Amino acid sequence: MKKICMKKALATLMALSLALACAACGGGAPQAPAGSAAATAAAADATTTAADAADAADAADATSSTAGASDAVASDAASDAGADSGARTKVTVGLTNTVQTMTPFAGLNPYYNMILGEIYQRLGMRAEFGSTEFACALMKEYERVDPVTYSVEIHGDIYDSAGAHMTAEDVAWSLEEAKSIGVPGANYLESAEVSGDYSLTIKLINDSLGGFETLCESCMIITKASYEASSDGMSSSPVGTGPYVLAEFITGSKAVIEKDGNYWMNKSATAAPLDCYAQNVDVIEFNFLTETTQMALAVESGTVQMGQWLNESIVADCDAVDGVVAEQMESSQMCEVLFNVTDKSPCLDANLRKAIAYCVNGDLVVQNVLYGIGYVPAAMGKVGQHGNNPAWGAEYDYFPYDVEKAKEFLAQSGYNGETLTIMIMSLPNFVAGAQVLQANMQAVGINCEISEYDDVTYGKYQPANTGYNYDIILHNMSMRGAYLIQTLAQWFDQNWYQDGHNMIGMADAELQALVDACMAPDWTQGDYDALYKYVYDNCLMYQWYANAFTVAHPESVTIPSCARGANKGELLVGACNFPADWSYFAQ
Amino acid sequence: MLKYILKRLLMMIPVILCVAILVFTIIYFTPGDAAQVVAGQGTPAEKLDELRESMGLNDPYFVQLGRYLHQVFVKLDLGTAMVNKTSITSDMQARFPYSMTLALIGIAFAICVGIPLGVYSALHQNKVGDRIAVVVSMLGVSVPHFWLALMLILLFSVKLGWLPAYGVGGIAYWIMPIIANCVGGMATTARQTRSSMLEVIHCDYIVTARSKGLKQSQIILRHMLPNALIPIITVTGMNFGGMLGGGLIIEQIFTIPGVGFYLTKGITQRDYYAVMGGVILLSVAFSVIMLATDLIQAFVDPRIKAQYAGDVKRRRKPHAREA
Amino acid sequence: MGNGASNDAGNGASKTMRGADVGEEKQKFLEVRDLSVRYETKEETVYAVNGVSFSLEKGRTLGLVGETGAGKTTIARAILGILPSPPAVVGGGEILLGGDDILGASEREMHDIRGNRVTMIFQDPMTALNPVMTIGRQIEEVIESHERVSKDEARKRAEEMLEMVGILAERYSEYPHQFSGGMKQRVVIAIALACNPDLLLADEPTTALDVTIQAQVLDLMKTLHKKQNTSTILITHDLGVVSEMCDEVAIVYAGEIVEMGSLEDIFERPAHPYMLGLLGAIPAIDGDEEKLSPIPGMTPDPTSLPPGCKFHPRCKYAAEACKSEPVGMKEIAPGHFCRCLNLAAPNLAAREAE
Repeated sequence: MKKICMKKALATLMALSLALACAACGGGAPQAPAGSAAATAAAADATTTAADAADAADAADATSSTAGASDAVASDAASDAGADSGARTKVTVGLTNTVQTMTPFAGLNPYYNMILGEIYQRLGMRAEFGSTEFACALMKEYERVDPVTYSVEIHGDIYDSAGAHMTAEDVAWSLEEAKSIGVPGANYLESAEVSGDYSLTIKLINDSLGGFETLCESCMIITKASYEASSDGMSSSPVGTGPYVLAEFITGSKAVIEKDGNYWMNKSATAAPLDCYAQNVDVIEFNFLTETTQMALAVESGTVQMGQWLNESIVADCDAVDGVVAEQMESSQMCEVLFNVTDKSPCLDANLRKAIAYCVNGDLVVQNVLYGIGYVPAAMGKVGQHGNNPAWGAEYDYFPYDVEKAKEFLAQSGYNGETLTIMIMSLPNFVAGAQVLQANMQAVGINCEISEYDDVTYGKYQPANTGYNYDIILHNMSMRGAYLIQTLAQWFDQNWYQDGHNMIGMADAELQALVDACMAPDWTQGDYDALYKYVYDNCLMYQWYANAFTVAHPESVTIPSCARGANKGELLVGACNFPADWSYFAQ
Repeated sequence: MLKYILKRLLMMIPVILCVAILVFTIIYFTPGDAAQVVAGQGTPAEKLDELRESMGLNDPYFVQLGRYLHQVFVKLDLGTAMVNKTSITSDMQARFPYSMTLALIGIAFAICVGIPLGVYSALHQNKVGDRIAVVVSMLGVSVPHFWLALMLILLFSVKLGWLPAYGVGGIAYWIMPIIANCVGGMATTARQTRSSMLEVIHCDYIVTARSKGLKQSQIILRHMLPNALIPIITVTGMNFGGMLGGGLIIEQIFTIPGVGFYLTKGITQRDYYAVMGGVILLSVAFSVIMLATDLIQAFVDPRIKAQYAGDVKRRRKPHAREA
Repeated sequence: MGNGASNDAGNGASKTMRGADVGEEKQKFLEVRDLSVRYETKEETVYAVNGVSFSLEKGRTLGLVGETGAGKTTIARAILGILPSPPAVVGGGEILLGGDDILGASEREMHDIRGNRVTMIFQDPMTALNPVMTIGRQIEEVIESHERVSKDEARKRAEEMLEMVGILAERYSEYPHQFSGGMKQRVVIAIALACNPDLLLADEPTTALDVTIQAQVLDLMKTLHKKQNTSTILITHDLGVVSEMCDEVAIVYAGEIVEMGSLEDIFERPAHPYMLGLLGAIPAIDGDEEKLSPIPGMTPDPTSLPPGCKFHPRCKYAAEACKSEPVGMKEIAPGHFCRCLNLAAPNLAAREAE
């Protein structure tokens, strides 16, 4: 009898503990996509200790670790489809995202651009990240005939890696094809008419500012013959005019590109090789390491020499590796706080908006959310876009963290303790950032709650006038486009939505006039300054922190600014400077 | 029997059709804008409207459904991925072999290691060997794949440097992914085999077999195992299906470009067409696996075969001595 | 427990009965001496067989009769060595087959004996055959493992066995589920007799079959017995079957043999009160009884058997001595043994009449 009682008690105890364990698991589950965040968060702790142990071993015997690493590289290279043996320099690059296709019409995805940007070329683009200067690549020159018409002449001796000669017909065809496929940015094209072997006339759909430049930047130009010769739209066998050609590609796993010996720019009579298209290393192998832990391990073991777009959580580990530096570079990824400026929201009151802007501690976000990899911008806007004025940072006091001032403005506003809604996309960085914002706001006495949305349905709710009720929205926008107004228009231009209100709900003639002035072809810096002042005085938008783009690379490698693409600062590896004693070779 | 196979193959068609319709309908009614996904963030509203029109998203439900079904089943084209603009069919062709290899070798291990382990356990029930095997099985079932994968990487790649940590290539690249993937399946198979064998061991026909004076090995191989296999086959079939779609964590960690990874990327990027294509492909694969499982079962167990064949072989000739 | 008595009685009886063979070493083909088997589990111990002794001559059929749970099947399985080993423990005794002690034989030796010299027919034909193997193959298997013949030869012999039990040889490749219960039992018989065994153990072979089939199967067994002259132990609880098939009978109660003798002895001159009770419980075919007369009480719990005579709680004639002293086997007539204390009158039946 006693035995049976004991058995029952034991069974009940086990059932209870099972139930508790299930509840605990369910309660603590993060809403991260694909669950790898949870896995890596748990594993990151594990790898920190492992990394320390590995470091100790490395420090004790540095030579053997390098030897081990080059063996690893050599064995990687052994599977390459490389033709000649010989001392070809090679670098292995780790990407945190996966590239699934090599088609030229994939759009300007920055991950893809690291590879495609070396294989294909465009008519022209901003030469480097942070510069507004527009450089011609395939174009010899261009002329703006009228606001919607440009006459373009390309070099006469452009050959792609299959040996096909590029003519104006190929250019026109590429642009039309990009437009019909729906490449973002190609929609500016109205038509492209060939006017000679190497000249054509491009007509734009409208005269919006930056249309031509965006069109040129967005479309990779290829020869029609080569495209048609490829059975799968160049998805796995790209043929372009760039300095590198594809040697091996396992979709979703790795890609290997090699220096093109017949690169046309080296032998061109009229074209001078651009710095960004340098061929400083013979072979570049890209490994797609979507799993953060794998990236950290690869950098530590030297399997990968350059790790790109490092997840903030592993930056410190990578930096700690002997001989490797995790360099933080400016990125165009800025995060904004925007307000609902309609009468549906208490944020209609400018004082409340300012109170919120002053109460936010951007450094805290950088420390807590980004592991310290990031910075607080000094002003709205970004270098590298026309209209951006570096003087703004000095001229305006860009809402620094000041609790007293925040409380002042709060007192002046008509805030009556309403609970404000902060709307975000449900991604980990936003969630964490919103929590910091919430804490800051509540510290000065503003009540708020966080409202998360799936990033696909999010778009539906954005327009403040017609969308969901929110008071504050957190967003991040990269500064795409050659002109600052191209980026800001998304928020401020009232012509974007049919109901005459802009994204943040305003139907303000004064603001629209300022926006229009900046969008006009004859814009001046003064127009931008006026727009900036208006936005600042009314605190319509506040850029509160920016991510940094982190690359882990050997100390001996330097990254010049010409190696960074203007789109998102993606790296063109061939343009990086490698030391003379580079010790990694292809087999 | 042939008729039965044909019948089952034909029955697969409505199943897959239903899956396609279901998937399409669910995605159709899910909130979210397909045009937004194709165009990317920051596109003005009019452009989105134009795109929606050109993609045919404003047509009524049945028109869109019909169009999609026609595209998939008549033209055999799974469509174009919305984000990458690649042909989904060729993406799948490139990726399916990897997933298949991972799953096939995994299940082969599960069978080759799990079944003998289960048999041993059952025959030595409650003795030391059995207890150890049971604990090992429980560990195998409880250990999460990704943890095991990371631990293997730490040991074999980082500490010992024997195996490459990620990628595809020769056999060395496959060792760790397969181990991480199949441990769970191995353990499940072992447990299932053990319980199935325990049931069979106590059956009367085993007593008959022993009374015939057969050797123990003969009894196990010819009498116990074929009977115990019947539920094991079902479980293995389902395991295989699970390994096929569920190897995605392994694929992600080891950057093996397989279907599972492609599918989850599609889901996080909201690439509806890729997701639909992937789901349809997986459902086809799963149907085929289930059919194969049923056929193998019929092969092993003549009672099931008789059921399927549909005719009962009773002699119609009159015989005085027969009952 | 009356060892000496039973042995001497056994020896003496057979010598007396076959007077012509006095002086010749009479083949006691099977001899079981004082066999005890118990089933031990964590909670309790079941005393299934308690000091059973009997013997069998070549070509004769012994019927082991008793109620369910009396221990008959255990005895048979002990002879064949297929007791379920963790719970079952053989407490002692010997089983001599043609002079060899098979109780202590190794497993390898038993492999040779089972299916070859000693075979068994089981109670439930529905589950006795491997469902995924053809019946022909199941017969062939036994032939292959014991006799050195070629595959073709083995197959031919299997087909012959099928014919012998009345199944068409064409049905060789069919599976058990395609046969009825009676046919399955025939297959089991075919398997059992395939290697011409010396001893056949039939454990309630017809209990699971309906009456008409029962008759057929019994006929078959008789025919085969005549042909091959196999010594048989037939276990049953059906006295009708006993009277049809057996030469000698042993009554088993609570793991002991309480009465043993020739068919005539047992049926004409039953001595033990239990046997009397059994016979009394059979309804007369021409009688007009409204109520049957079963033996009052129940068989004792094998985990705690009563001391003294195991039958005493139910016995009409139980005396004080019956309750405490262990009772030995007594030879009350040549070849007729009984385990009872109250045998003052040579013929109990006479006493019954009192």
